[in-house]
Amino acid sequence: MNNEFKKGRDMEIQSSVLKNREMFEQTFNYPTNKDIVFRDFKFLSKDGFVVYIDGMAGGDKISDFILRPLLNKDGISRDLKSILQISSLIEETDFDEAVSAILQGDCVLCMDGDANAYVCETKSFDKRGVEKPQVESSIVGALEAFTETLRTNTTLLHRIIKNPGLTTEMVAVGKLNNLTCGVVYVNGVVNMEFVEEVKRRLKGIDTDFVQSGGMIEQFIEDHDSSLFQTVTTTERPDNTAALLMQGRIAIIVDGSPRVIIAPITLFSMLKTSEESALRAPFASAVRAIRIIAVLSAFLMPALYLAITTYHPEMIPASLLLSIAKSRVNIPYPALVELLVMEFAFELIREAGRHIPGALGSTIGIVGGLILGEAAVSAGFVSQGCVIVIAFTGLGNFAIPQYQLAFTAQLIRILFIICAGFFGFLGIGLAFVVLVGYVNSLTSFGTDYVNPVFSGDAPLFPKQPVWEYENRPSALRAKKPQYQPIISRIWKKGN
Amino acid sequence: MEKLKLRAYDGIALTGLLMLPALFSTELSKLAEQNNTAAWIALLIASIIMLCLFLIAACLMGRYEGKNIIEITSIVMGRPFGIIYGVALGVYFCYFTGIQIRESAEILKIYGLSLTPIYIVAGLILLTAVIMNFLGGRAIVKSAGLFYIIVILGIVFIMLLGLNRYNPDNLIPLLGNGMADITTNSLFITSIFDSVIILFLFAPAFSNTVKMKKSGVLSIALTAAACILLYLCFVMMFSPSVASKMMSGFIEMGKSSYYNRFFSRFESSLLFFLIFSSAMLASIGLFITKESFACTFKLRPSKAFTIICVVPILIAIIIPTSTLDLTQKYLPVIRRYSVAFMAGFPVLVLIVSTIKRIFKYEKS
Repeated sequence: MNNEFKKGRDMEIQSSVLKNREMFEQTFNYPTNKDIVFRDFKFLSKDGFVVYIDGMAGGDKISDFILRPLLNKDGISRDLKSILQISSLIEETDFDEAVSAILQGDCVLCMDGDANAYVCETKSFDKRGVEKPQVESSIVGALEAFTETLRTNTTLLHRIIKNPGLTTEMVAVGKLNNLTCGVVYVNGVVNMEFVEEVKRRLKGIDTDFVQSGGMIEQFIEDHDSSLFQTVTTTERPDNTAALLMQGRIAIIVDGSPRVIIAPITLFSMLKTSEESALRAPFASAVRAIRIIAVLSAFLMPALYLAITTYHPEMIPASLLLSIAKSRVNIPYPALVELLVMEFAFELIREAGRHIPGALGSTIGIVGGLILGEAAVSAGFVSQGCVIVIAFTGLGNFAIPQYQLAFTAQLIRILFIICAGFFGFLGIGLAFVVLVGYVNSLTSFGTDYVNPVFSGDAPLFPKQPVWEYENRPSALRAKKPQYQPIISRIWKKGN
Repeated sequence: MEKLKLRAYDGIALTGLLMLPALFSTELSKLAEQNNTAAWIALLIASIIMLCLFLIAACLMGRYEGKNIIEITSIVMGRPFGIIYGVALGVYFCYFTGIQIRESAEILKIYGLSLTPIYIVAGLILLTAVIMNFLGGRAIVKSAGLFYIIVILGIVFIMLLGLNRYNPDNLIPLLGNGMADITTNSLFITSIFDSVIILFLFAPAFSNTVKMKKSGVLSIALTAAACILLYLCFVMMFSPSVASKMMSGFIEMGKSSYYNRFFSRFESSLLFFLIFSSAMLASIGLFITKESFACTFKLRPSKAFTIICVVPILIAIIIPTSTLDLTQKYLPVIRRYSVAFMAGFPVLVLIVSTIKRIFKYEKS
């Protein structure tokens, strides 16, 4: 039997309970599949059954609020809706919808002579509670992070955005695993063209299995194999809420603790939710440091290489001598030295990531300190090179988006090679190409980088909160104004 | 033609990046050599002449809203003339791009990469232009918006850097070799500003002709201001006789400015302004070449078409046999005489269009 399940096969619920049961048994591979539970009963001398997945649906809920009222002879009512003590009860005629509900953790009830299936809300699987953010930690911001459960995540958003326009539409992705994705937006703010485009792309994914949000990202992005991610992810509900209120769309993938946001711009990925809680001068200072960090993550080793190799006149004589002295015993060119160090740094980082718990950080210390010191003493690399790579590594960690940090790593290597062969000329030309490349990218059809003088809030300096008058122009939001020019009406003489 | 949407600023940036790189290269020295202390007056007159020519030619664009100059030429003078003009424009921009790349490569070789063969430097700039064109017109326009600011900042930076070295006495005599000389020279150096005419090729990309005109006028004004101010600073720093012997006045100004040893070390980083401007000029030049041919023959510019357009540019790069040959023979074509073709032809089309209209009116 082909287990491929896709909605829209036009299979109807039958009025014969036996036929319905046979269809469910075939679909769920029963009785071989031990996860499926069928519970038969008789109600008002008619045969019926409930079907659910053990563990996904709450057994207690089913016995207390569905089966007990049905089997209780005292309650003389012929209407099932009046008998079942369940908060959500939906009549379903489409067989595939009923199967989909069972897969989500609901239970389906069928009665003989009734061409409807009754979908009862009984989801009750084990889930992780709301915890602190692991990657996007904050000192002054909220301390809640998304979990793997879609409903918990939508609840977290509803708690922040108390607006009836906050809408969640469900789209199933993956022919065999039916992963549920919630497309979340604020109706009345978002441009519905983007919502339709997001849904069109999600529905247009034709694959058997989607494991995670990361796979969805790749399926729906504008550009194949782009070095820059053109959708972003966040684990913070407050950040997501702020982005939704700008007119963006969130895609909550069931089972993924990170929410996908689209459309985005490159500079929006360099902002953090914490900055909105900081006063403008402090937030600007933080951003300035971050911009320098990003630039050093991309360019620092290349500049070091170009200056020491092609433009030594830029270095003070004493420092130049010290660098030259430390390189005397190095048997290969500075280009190779830097590439080797880059590789070693990434190796240590990758090892630290896969080694569990405290041992991971130990590897970092062992690799960074002991191995680095030994490499310098043995004449494998120079001290200057170690310092530059360490500084670059720090810059890389200062990038708020994990995937943008990956981008920096790859592009840095290209810059190093260009600098190694052509000095400033190589860096300059590579930079022009990089700017051109980033400018050619789009996120859901909108500019990935805003044109100069687009009128949107600049990345630096950060504007005070009362100066954010308009939503980003690229989003073409239904409600373009965020707040009036005078948002502090309490202030006299405005 | 690729569907582009241009704002007034995009037009300023695109044309500005075609005109300003002249300041980073040999043009400042050439101006000092030919015009002595009065080059700034000649530049001012030249910019006014170009502004008038642009506004006159822009009347033609106003009559045919939504059409570019090649299409208008075809309408007014017939398809053969349209083809001839389109091809001539494409060929001119191949030459313009190639010669400018060669000039930048010569300067980069002198100031930064003395051991690297000139053709490798020029080839790298051209390769960058090809990649940028593969990325598309939108990417070039948006990048131009950013690099235009960088280039302007570079010019402002270099002018501020030399503040303590300026000697206003170097500007005397104010009228240089005399008014007659200034007038003659200003007619020739109008060519420095003639790239603004390419806005006529992108006219349909602007929301209306008024925006295009605004873009052109501002572009000429900004470029003229940058040229005049930089020239004044240049001559105030070095006397015209010394200035005329230099290869790149811009970089020499950076090298000669001195506050303290710490700042002086950064003079090599001035090369970045030259690199950015020449890479963008090459990208825009190749883009215009491609668009001219594509519009003339109603082709869809593909990657293969871009590669084909690179060949004549490559030829233009390798034609000059030496730096002297480049500056004496080939650069004057784009810096002294090109205005006759660039501005003259649209004005000619305007005259023909007016005459035809008069005849049509008389007939009716």
